This record gives sequence, structure tokens and C-alpha cells, in this order.
Amino acid sequence: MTLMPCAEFEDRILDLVEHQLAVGERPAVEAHLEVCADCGEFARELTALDAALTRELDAPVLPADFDARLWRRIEAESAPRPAADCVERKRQIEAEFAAQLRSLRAPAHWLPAILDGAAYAVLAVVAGLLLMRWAPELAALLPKSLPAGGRDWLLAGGSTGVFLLVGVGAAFRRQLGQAMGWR
Amino acid sequence: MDDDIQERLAAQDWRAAFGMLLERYRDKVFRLAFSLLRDETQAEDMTQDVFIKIWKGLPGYHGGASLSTWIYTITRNTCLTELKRRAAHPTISLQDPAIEEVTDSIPAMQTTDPESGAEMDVQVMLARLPEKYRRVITLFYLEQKAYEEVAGMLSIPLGTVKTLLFRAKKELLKMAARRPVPVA
Ligand SMILES: [Zn+2]
Repeated sequence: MTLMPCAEFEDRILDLVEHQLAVGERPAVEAHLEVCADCGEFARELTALDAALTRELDAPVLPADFDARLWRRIEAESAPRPAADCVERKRQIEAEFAAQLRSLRAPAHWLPAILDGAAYAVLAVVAGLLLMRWAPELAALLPKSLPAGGRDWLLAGGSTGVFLLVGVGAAFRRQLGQAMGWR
Repeated sequence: MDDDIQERLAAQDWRAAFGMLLERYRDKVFRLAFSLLRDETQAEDMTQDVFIKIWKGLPGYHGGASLSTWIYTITRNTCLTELKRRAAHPTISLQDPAIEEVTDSIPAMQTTDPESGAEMDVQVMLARLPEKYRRVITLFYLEQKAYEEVAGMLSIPLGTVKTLLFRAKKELLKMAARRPVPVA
């Protein structure tokens, strides 16, 4: 008992059994089922399967106390917090945090300035030490046409100038920023 | 189609909205869970969990997706997580021992009772179907053959529902054909 329906009719027979076949297509398929034993058998088997599935696959039913148990669980859990409440609470927390931050900063406004200055000082010392270490190599990079004394002066003057620029820049950073339109 | 529920939601009347939604979707969620899990008790537990999730999620639901899409997505995710958990705990085997027992005893059943042997033992054959076929065909019959409903619940295109159904039926017929023919 092998099921070998004609390939070109197979899908349409499935549709026919499921009452999904367009009315216009039905006569052709039904006529074929009359003359083709394999397709006829296929259709009968499908119909039997459909009947068996309809009979066997009946929906399970929830117990009668399902809702009551669910509501009890819901009462046990807290009521849902409306989304608007959450947003409001978040806003409050953020506002509190910002206020805390401001109160921390206000009385100690000189502290960041001192730390700032200290950092620049450390930077300057490190840069100076590096400059001393690499002075001969830097001097060798300058044009040979300059006299030896001239090269030393150029190096010293150049580095002093850079340090001065950075220092002034750091000290008047805020004013500079405002003048340039930053922040 | 759930305008009445949407109205209650808009008024932030969570309790009324949930009551209506529970009434309308309880059985559908249960049937979807059953078709995914193949276990009535577990499907019932999952249905409880799904509605707890829905209750907690109601204030955050802003009607982006339709209510049914949202509910079925929660249901599928909850059940699939449960299936993964089951697979990760081999003590609760995916190969349901009850089903294996039945499967093992097929030849005996068929030879001892030619009358019922002529019938197709649907449950046994369904248990042997590949997962994706079984889900669709189960839900299809549980939902009184409503194609669109099945497509929505499983979130697959209508054409795919039809294709999977066809394949499932052909597979079932093949299984039925392979049975030894009972001697009269
Ligand atoms: Zn034919």
C-alpha cells in the first residue's frame, strides 16, 4: 500500500480535502479522482486522516479554578506600577542626584583648581626632565649652519616659549574657551 | 478588534482591561502552550505564568503591536524558554517516557486488535512527527482549522502554515502506510 498520487494533483487533492480548493478548480480534480486509482486512494486516506485528527485532537480544557488561582497570584504580587509613575520617579532621582552633585562642588570650588594646577606642574617637571635627557639629540637636529651657542639658545628659548604658551593657556582656559565660543 | 480592551488600557484601568483580556485569550494561550509543550499540566502552568507576565507588562504596553500579537509572542517565548530548560535538565526528558512506551508497543496493539489496527493511531504518529510539523497540525485542529488564527498564533506566514500542514499530513500518511496490514 504505497501512496503515489499524481504529482500535479497532489496539492490540489490536499486542498480539496481541506475545503480550500477554489470552486472553479474542483470539477477537474474530482473528475481525475474518478479515473485515477492512486489519486482516489490518496484522497480517501487523506479524508480518513482528517477525520481521525479531528476526532483525536480535541482541545484540552483549563480547570474551572484557573482564573481564581491567577487572581490570587496577582493579589500576592504587587499591583502593576503605572509607567507614568516610573518616569516621574526616575525624574525625581535624577534631580536629587544633580542637586547632590552641585552641593558637593559648591563649597570646594577651589579644590579642583588646586588639583588642576598640581597636575600641570607635574606635567611641566616631567616634560623638563625629558627635554634635559634629549637635549643633545634635539640640538643635533637643528641646522648645522648655526653656531653651537646659537643652537643652545634656540633650544632653551623654544622650549621656554612652548611651556609659557601651555601654562598661559591652562591658566586662562575658561576665558579662552568662552572667547572661542566653546561649551 | 480589541478596541474595548484598548480603551480600558488608555484609561489605565488595568484590572478591567486584564479581566477582559483574560476572558478572551485564556483558552487560546492555553491551546498554543499545549501545542508547543505537548503536556497539559505544563501548558496550564505556563498559561498562568504568561498571564502574570501580561499583568505586569500591561502598563508598559503601548499598542505598538496588536494585543493578540503581543500576547502570543509572550506565550511562545515563555514556552520556548520552558522547552530549553527541559532540554537542559535531562531528568525531565524531552523524550516523554509515556510516549516512548506507547511507541514501543505499536506492533502489539496492531496485531492483537485488527479492528483498531485499521484505525490510524493518531497520537502515536503525531508523537513521531518532526516538531515543526506537529506544532502546526496540532494547533490547526485545536483551533478548528482556522488557518489565519494558526498563522497569527505561531507568527508564521499563512502560506507556511499550509505548506507545513501538507507536509505533516503526507508524513502521517506515510507512517500509516508503513504499518503492517492487519490480517483479517
Ligand atoms: Zn492521479
